Amino acid sequence: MLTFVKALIDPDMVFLRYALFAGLLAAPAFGIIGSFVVARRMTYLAGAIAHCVLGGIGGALYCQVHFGLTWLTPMLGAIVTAIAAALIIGLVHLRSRERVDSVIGAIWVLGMAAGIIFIAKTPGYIDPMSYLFGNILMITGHDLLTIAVLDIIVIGLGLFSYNRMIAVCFDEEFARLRGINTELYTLLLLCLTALTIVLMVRVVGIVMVIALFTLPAATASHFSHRLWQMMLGATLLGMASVAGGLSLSYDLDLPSGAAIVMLAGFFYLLVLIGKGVKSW
Amino acid sequence: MPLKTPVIQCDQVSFSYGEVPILTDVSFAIQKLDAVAMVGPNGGGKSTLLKVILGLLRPQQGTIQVLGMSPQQARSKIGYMPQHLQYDPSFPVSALDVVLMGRVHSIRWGRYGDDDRQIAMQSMAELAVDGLASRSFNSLSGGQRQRILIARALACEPEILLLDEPTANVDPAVELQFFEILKRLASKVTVLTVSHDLGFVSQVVSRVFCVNRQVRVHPTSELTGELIREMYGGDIRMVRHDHCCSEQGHSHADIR
Repeated sequence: MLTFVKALIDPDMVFLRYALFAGLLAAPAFGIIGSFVVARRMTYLAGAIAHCVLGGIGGALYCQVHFGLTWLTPMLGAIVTAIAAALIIGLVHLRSRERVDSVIGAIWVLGMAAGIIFIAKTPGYIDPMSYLFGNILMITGHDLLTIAVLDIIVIGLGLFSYNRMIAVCFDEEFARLRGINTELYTLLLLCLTALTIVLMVRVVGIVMVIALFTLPAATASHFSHRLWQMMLGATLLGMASVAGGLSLSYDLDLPSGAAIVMLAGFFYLLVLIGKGVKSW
Repeated sequence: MPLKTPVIQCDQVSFSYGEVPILTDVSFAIQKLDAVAMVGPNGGGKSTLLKVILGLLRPQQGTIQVLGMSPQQARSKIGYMPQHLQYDPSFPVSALDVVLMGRVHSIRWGRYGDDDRQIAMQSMAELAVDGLASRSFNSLSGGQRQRILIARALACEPEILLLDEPTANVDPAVELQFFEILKRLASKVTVLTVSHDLGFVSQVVSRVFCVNRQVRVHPTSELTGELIREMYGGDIRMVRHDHCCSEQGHSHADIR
């Protein structure tokens, strides 16, 4: 722990600071949007969006090398693909009459497969593992700025739509009868989910990013009577997971994304056991 | 025909899911401050008729007008209490949060106004659940939750209240309270309630709609065991609630 704090102020360890900032910045977005997603039971849709992001990252890398589009960064590719995937998955979810889960499962896998093919066909050494499971060495100061801007958008829209979103998530039919465009709000929630996923792809990777959505929110739901309490709890747990996970990964030389997710899972388990002991 | 436009006017409405006819040639009119109950067997079309009135389903034939408008336009004037709430039982909301959802249309800049809160609290007081406002919705009993949902419908400041099985999952003692509440509400707004319990509703309402593919309208004074047997189709045994059945037999009164 102490060595971690020392490393944080070490000028040669700037990547560690960046990773910590990225995680702490992203935690409120995960807390707010994650609580909506968990309460609405849309984790599966969020998982599909996350995996599609690899297609965007791969596509951006491919275009950079083959067409010289240097402005098309993996981050930008991830944002565009995540939003597109959110809209497609949302419309399938809302409009498709049958086999919604099969269609969404297909989009999930196809997005990922496209990413793997793009990366394989891009010359130079790119390790897909670092996108799948995160790599804090890749975070740049520019990324941090993008994360901050996305964060403000997500938190702002999330809090602004809070009251309507609760009504839509709690009882969609009733909200529709009160004149709320519930389909629009469902799509908005999925787009905010998409942007939130992009925030943490660098740190924990697209495979494990869903854990940061669900675990802190599910843990917080055990001692929350109101949705805002769940959001606050999830935010604090997310921050603790990021800081603690990075510290563990530095001290014990563990993959940082995995350490963060493990810690979030550990908190969840702790609450479940605590609840079990109490009722027993 | 009555001179005033009816609150709900249904003309020869038919609805089917694919090949399966659910409602055929349904006509009725409900006047202002009428209290009407819909009864009938499961699958007889009660829920479908409610959804047609709410504009969630469009009939293939016939026309329906609510407050002189199309059901979609009139929606905001209807307070609706669904029978099954498809909500996540661990969804963290307070009882007041739920009632406030009846005001969701009047949110400005993402926030409820003070007047919305006031209306929500008044609706809760009307149903004697204002003391539960800050309680977690999930921790309430079935009857309390049901009343919160009626309060939510009332918070819409409706001209018509649609209550789908308000006494489902409610024990008999609470049912008696519901009876009083419903009576009081019926003096202020037009109430249309769906119920499986004829004995319960016939004390509160003036007319009963028997929904079984078709709709037949009976003043509550006409209800007899024979009629009920006919409505539900087949051999059923009925426990007589002697407060509502008359011995003079019945006729299917034409309502128009």
